[in-house]
Amino acid sequence: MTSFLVMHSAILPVLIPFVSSIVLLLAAGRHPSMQRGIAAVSTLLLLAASAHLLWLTDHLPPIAYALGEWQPPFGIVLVADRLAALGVMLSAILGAAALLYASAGFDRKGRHFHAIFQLQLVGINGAFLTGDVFNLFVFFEVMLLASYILLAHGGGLDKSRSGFAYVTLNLAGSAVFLIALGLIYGTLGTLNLADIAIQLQTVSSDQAALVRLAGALLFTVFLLKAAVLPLSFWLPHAYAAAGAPVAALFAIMTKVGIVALLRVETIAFGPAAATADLVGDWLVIAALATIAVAALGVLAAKRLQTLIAWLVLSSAGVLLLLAPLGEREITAAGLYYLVQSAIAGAAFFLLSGLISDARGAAADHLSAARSNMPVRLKLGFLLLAATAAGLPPFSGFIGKLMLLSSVSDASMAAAIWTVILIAGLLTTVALAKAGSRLFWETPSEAEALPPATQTAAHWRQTAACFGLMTIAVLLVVLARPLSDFCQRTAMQLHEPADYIHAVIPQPETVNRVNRP
Amino acid sequence: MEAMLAIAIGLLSSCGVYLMLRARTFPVILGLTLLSYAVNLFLFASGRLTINAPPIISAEASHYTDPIPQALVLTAIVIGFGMTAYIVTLALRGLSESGDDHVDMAIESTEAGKKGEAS
Repeated sequence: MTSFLVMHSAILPVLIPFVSSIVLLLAAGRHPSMQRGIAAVSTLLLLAASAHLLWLTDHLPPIAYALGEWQPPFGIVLVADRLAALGVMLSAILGAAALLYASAGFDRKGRHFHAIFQLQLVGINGAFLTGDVFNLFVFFEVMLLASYILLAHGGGLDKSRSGFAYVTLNLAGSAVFLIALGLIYGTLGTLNLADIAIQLQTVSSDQAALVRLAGALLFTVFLLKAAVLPLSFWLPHAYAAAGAPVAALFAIMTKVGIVALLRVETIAFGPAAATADLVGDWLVIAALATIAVAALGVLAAKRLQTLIAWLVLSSAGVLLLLAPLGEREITAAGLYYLVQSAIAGAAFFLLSGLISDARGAAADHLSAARSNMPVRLKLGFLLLAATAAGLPPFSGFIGKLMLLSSVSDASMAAAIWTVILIAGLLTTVALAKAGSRLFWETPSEAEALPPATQTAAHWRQTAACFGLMTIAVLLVVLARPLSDFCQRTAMQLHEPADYIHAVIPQPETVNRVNRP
Repeated sequence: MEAMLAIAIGLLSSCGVYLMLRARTFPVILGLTLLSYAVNLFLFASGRLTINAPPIISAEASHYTDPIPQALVLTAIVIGFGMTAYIVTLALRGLSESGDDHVDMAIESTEAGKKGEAS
């Protein structure tokens, strides 16, 4: 039994939510508590499977899982290494919190919320685990299709409108992705990531230009998902329009783009001579521009949820520094930042939902409103605002400190320090302004909107939000073990030979046919 | 044949991009569809163009066409079909909720706001 679990550990994070989403589709008409029960069991199983996978990958070399025993490079392969396991663990935690929050009533606004939610987890986990760029495309599409539906969940004009722009943009992105895949297959004759890495070493000079074009297109798509400037204007609209639990789950979707970029760059395109210079200083500049614009967006936001969406964008900008700087220390620091920014961002979205409920008609608009806000919401806001702004002693501070000290030797260190620190200051100012508006300002009688009718939040909403906050605090307490793990992850990521060996142990025995 | 296919892909994608940049939802969806046709043809061509050859091993065949791009195109068509169906419903929902089919969010929001004030 144990060996069975170990053998199939790589596919379980995809399979568990997939099976439960099918079951949930069949149970669509049933009682909501039954649907919630199925979804809860599935998410708990997913948490266990992710924790198991995390433990396994920390002790073993990358695990390659060939579906149907078709040996790579010919079949479909999933590869679980530390980075994939970390991503899967993160998505399971955020998924569990978002689901708990949604089970308080948000899920009743549409028939298929739970099924689509599980499908969203399939897409995210698959995108982390896949070892094949075409399946990366497929899992991206699964993730996006589910996200389109979740974004529109709950209805309303705002949602269908921002939904249309979001879907159009991502469909155009998918077209670019497919063109990149066509170019890769046309030149290298493979779509398996490890095999691409092998083929790129010996690419002929007349094919090199096409391969570089394919790489550039592929990175463009990842940057669109990661929302780097100038491809980032969709994010604040889409994330601000989504319901609070959906937005909390979306906090990990920009991270999927960044992880995909990091993986493809470190394993295949970075080590090859023909494509080594594809990711370079231009990405640092784009990332810094993203951080700067996001800081201005945080200042200008009129709603709390829009403000948090800009914060997500800002953290995406910071994470984009990882790929071009490409050193182990920086990658390790960045991975810690990735974990903490995803958890804090998701917790912030949930908290914004709670605050919005407590303020009645004023919702999360940054304006005065009559409300009897519980003290715990104010304290929660303080904690998350300090984390997001990177103030000590919270995890945001540790993440930023590690990142800044690791980049101090990089070529553009001065620019990076300046932009990140000024952006941090602007974020602090904006959050202080938002907090005082939300909690302290009292409206004049004339402009006061009706206060909330139902005052107490459901215990599930509170538990989900404060559970994530507890994890955010634990990230400070457990900073040492986590950053050690991030070090080991970065080490593995910068040793692509291990990954390639795990997928294709004997490349010289692969039988290839010469193509015209 | 290569030239013909290249021209077809180029024509389809340029029409698709032009339509996608229009301001109303219907042309945008048509543009997306044309673009996905172009992409599917391109993907198909990535396995080289071979005529009168089977993709599956058989005793009589002397040469083969590459079966992988065909499988990839099939996957892309299925995904594209689902996406198009969804975006059509989304566009129709936007139309029924706001009364016009503009893509631009800012204009629509203010118009909807005005309508809300008027009613």
